[in-house]
Amino acid sequence: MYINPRRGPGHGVAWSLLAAVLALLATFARMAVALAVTVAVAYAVAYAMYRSRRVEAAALPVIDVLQSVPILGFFPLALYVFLALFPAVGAELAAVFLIFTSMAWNIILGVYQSFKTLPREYVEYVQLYLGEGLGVAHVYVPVALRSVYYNILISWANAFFFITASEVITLGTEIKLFGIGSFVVSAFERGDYSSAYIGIAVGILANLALYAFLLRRLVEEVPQPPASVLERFSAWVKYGLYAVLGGAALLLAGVAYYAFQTPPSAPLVEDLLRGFMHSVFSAPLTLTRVLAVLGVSAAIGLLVLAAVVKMPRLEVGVLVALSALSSIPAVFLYPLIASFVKGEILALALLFPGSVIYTVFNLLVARRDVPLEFVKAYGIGGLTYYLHVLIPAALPYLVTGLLTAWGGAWNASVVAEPLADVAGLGTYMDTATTRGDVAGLLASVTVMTLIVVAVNKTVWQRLYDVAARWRS
Amino acid sequence: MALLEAEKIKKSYSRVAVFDDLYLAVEQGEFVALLGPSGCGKSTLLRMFAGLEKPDAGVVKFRDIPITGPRREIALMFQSPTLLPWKTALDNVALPLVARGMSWREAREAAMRYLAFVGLSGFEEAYPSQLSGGMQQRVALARALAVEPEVLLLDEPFSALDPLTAESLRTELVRLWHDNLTTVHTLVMVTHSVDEAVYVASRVVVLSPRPAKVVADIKIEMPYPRNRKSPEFQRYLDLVYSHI
Repeated sequence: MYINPRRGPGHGVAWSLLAAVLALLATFARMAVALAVTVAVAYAVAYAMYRSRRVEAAALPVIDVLQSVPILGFFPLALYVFLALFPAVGAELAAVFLIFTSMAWNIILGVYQSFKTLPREYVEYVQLYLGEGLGVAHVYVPVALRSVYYNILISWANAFFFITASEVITLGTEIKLFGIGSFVVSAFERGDYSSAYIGIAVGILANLALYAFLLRRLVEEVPQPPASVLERFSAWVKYGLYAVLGGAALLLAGVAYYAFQTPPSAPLVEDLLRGFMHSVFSAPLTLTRVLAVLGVSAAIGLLVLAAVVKMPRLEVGVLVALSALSSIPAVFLYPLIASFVKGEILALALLFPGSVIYTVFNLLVARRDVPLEFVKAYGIGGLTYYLHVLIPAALPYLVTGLLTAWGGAWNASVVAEPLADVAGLGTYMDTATTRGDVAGLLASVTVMTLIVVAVNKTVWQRLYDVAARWRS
Repeated sequence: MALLEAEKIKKSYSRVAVFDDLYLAVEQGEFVALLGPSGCGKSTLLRMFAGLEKPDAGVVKFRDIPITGPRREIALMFQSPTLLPWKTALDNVALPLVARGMSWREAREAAMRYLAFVGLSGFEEAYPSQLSGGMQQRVALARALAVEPEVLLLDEPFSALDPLTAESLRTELVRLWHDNLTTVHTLVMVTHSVDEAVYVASRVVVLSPRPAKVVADIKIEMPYPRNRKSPEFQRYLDLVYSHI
């Protein structure tokens, strides 16, 4: 359902404000549902991976690929399956599913990491004293909470970056769901700039408030759910994988059914080839932007690290600033940035916040690994300090940060490039979606996913192995 | 019939043989200290008794019944306290009792008694991070005793503590076993310290490097509480050292 806030004479601002707040609540509700699904899926999948080597071996590469697929890549899946299965609420479900795809992967991997790094004595303690049911409820679920809360911060920001994409589902035919993303887009389309700016302001303020009153507390206090909730949740964690697999199979069956009904004809193959050509030729433009953004992020990250190592009291300030930055969706800042810069610079400015947040967040952790007393005692300074102490100590964290930022920046280009009106793989993908050009969308998604995964497996993985050798 | 028995056990990790036909029996009422070089498999043996690991060949038995998994009669105390940071001292002790079928109310009452027993009355509502290392290890001891086992296995329980704290806990452990203050009648403790072994144990078993064999099995026949300054104590120390 889409509410059009027509401006009546004299009460335009009040009307817009009310509509914007309602739209925001609708968006937050959708995101909250997606987040709940994400957390449930994350625990079930991560626990199954932790328990079974076979599940682990099968799931890790799948998650690796899925987290590299841009959100638009899930569009055909969401649209066909959910609308076909549930005509009444299909669009809503599709939106929740799309938001899920922008939230889930880092949370799943975070929970999995928490399980994998659980000290052996705790594993034995569960075996000896608790048994699996209570062990899951009181050890496994709580031990991963810190990572879950921390990743919610990142996932929420990421989902908001793609909020327009998940509320204005366009694949030839356009479906607009009532929400803050579609509210702002519609207002801009109508030329109703005051409504658009009101929507943007409401979005930014709501995210800042959410951060200040809820997300920050989750990360700082790591609240524990009551025992009864944990104990009920533990059955889901133990057996939820079957439900997740069932759901995934249903989705894929739906897609297969659709594909079977409309078998690919010769023109589609031609379209696909054209799409691949177009994608391959527009990829270098996006690659250049992504590399530029990563380079600047790495430089800023290292400078921030050097400053925090020198003055540890700066760390809290940096963390607060980063969290505030991550709670303001860059897409919503774009009219503001666009009034200063255009084109190429605007595209970079939109890609930059996400990348710098990932990089600096990860690099701050490296502070512990810089042997400060040694540096002081032997008077190591200047270039020697940076080249032989700071950068090597930071490298594992830098690689982790850049690896995340790398995939994130490619996916963000799908939103940033069209907004900045520059050519590139992101713009091509967006255009294909708007036109309902499924072949072009498939080709561009495949090319982007291949680039991200291939570089992850070669460049980043190798750098990571190098760095891991001297990391204790 | 021995209480605990490891019979002809073999165990290898990636082709390195840790045990090759090891035999060890522990009688009811003993306090056995397992001594040996690092990596000789003392902890592995302890974990087999606890039902956490299985030998590649041979059998580990409790009262002649093969041990196939954790048993209610056998509790293990780790080197680190291994407490849940998100639970109070009381709930840390109570949780395993809930796992054994008690209601939370009953479990907390029992936990209260065992916390008092290890000298932690008044700290029931404290979280582990608010307790010192020694107090955390006391909570872990209360947790192991609260499940009312017959056998308590200890994996270097005092090695992470400062010497004074370790000494007072050591003395208490000897007292609760020697004076029959709990359900525990038999203890097996892995240690690196010859002094600790001679101070607490009724029997010291020295293992060789991999693959581990019993190179010495010495009954320590001195009354408790033991006096480290006595010539007898010194003689036992020298005897044990001569096998290391």
